[in-house]
Amino acid sequence: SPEERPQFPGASAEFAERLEFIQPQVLAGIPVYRVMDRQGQVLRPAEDPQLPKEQVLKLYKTMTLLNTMDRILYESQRQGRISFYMTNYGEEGTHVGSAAALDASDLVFGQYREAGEAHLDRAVPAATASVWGGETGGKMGKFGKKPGKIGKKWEIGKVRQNGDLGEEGVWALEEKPWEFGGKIPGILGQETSGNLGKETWILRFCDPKPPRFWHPPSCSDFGGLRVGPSPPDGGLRVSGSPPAARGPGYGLLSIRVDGNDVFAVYNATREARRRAVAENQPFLIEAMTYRWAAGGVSGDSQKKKSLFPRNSPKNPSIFPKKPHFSQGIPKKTPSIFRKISTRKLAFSVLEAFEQAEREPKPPPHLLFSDVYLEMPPRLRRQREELQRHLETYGEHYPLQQFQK
Amino acid sequence: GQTQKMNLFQSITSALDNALAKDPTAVVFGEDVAFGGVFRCTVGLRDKYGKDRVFNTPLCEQGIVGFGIGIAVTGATAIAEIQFADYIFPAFDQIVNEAAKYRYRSGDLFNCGNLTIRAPWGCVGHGALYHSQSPEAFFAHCPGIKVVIPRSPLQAKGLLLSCIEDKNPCIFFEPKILYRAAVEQVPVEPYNIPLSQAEVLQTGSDVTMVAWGTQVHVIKEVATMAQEKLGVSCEVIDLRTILPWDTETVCKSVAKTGRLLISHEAPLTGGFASEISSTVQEECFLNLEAPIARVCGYDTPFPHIFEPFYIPDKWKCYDALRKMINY
Repeated sequence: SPEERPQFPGASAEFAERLEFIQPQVLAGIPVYRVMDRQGQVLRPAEDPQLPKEQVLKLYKTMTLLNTMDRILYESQRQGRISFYMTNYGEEGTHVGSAAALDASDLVFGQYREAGEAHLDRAVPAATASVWGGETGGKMGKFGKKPGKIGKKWEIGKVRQNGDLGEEGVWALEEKPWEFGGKIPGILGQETSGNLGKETWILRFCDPKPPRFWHPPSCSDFGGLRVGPSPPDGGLRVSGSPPAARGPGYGLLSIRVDGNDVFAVYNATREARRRAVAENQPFLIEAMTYRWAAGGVSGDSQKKKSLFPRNSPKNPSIFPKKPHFSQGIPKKTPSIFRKISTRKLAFSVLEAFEQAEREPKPPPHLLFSDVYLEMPPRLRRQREELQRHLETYGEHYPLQQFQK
Repeated sequence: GQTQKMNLFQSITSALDNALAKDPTAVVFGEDVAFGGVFRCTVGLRDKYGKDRVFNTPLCEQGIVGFGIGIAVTGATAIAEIQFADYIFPAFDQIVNEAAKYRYRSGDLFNCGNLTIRAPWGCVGHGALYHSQSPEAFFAHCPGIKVVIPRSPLQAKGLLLSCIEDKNPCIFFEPKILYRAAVEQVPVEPYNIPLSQAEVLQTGSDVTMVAWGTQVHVIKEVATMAQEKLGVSCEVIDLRTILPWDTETVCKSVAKTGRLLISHEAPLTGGFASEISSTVQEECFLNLEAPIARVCGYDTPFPHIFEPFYIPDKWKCYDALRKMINY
């Protein structure tokens, strides 16, 4: 009878008379949505996003480029030629698939490992931009909004690299799309955000239930879950706890997808975006991947014991999946993909890198700009101090590497 | 224009009302702001502007500020409330590592200048450890943000509106003890008081006294005491903006008087008085007739029952001033 139900506000449950703990694994078995099998075959034609061939090629090319860039830049970091670099191994499909599903005007709050989230044809891979930003004293914008240092081929687009674990993306949630010209921000998360407890509140801010929380926001959250070598047992273990399992706890429509499957990520993102705008509610997408890269810059991820050796044929992620086309194209590796020469891509990266290295860095006085919109008098005085200091002691500074 | 008798919290409401009216992108949010706020600063705003513009957040300061930063980045005006300045610390990383550095790290491609964070600040008689703090010194050390503290309703409205319109992320601390206690005639229409400008409330020739927020009223009283009991003429300065602070006004004053007393409730060590003192001794060394005096809270957490002994009251300020005069 109604009187016998719990009257706690917000609770819609029954009483229980047996002491029984809920097993944590109750939600662990959330299925992983995929479109392609491991060989890149579309499994159900209805799920094929039917992207034009040129676009598929572009997706694949971007993934390969990202992979290529990773190899080169990772080595550069180990050699000390650049300061920070986060590789994207294993996550290419997630970045590129989700970016492809967003509009150019959507605002994306990336972290430090969403290089591929760059809009396909024009944005500098954001993480790389931040690397280069680091090399230019964080002043990539000061190249007069010229292309970022990585190369003239790419321009800085709408991708925002924020270097932190996604908090600002939460805003999304708040503003109705129509107020901001249809911007649907995607928060790019990583599972580590869960480890820091930040994810908890990010999800709480998405909770649409009145009265404690306000009107539901629109957001998509992409979590890359690390499945990897977890000492001491070296076994496969889902680290942390999966975001998808927590989404429902906060009232969020949630899905888990195969992050290596660019079509699956694309489909999920596209649909989430469409519904987020239409229904003004948030969506949580957990893109499962195999991240081979280090969690941070210290340490060498190569040294970690790997469940799947990098070159093992069993390794599901050593290469981004080459998607196969459903209509009328042979199911073996289409020759169209052979047009993408990894060697050529590597060459173009190296060329851009070397050119960037040769270019002088922005002038030292830019150290002081953009702290505030306007420069406070005290900062101006400090800038003058440095100027005077360099006039006398300039020989002890690497001035030749910088513009005047 | 037309003025109205307002106390401090009403002047805040008036400023927020003006901001929400003028700027269609402005939103006000925080814990419990919807019903009017624990200090009544947001009374009536939700009814007037709707639940999409005035709304509650979960109990999560890190989230409140992170969320605010995100809104600001898109170009909307975010006015976030932290329920007590004592609770601002979970948001410290967001403020220092995100908000303050947004423009700098992106080379001005992006910024969160449209963010203002408001928080009740300072002692209130019974607040104890977690409802009395004055954390301005922590933020003074953070390039990229502005920190502003008003002393009165009239000042508060003008300074808050300036913070909201300022294109840099701002923290606005509101002396909670003055919410009801301070009452003034305040213009109904919006107006601005400039940031980074200290105000000389009273000119004098013998001693300069600097404070902000509630403590301005304490040193004003001390100035009167000094005049009556010691025949000493004091120059009283309200700093108003802690970061970036108006070094020129303070140094000019000390160059004239030769003596400086700075007072704040926050603990002595590392308190903002140290920054002022250090700068003044650099700029005015030869003008100084006596060591700079700092009359501050002790190096303890803000106490509960011992509050009357802890705070830098007028007797402590008066005594320090007397010693300076007799140096």
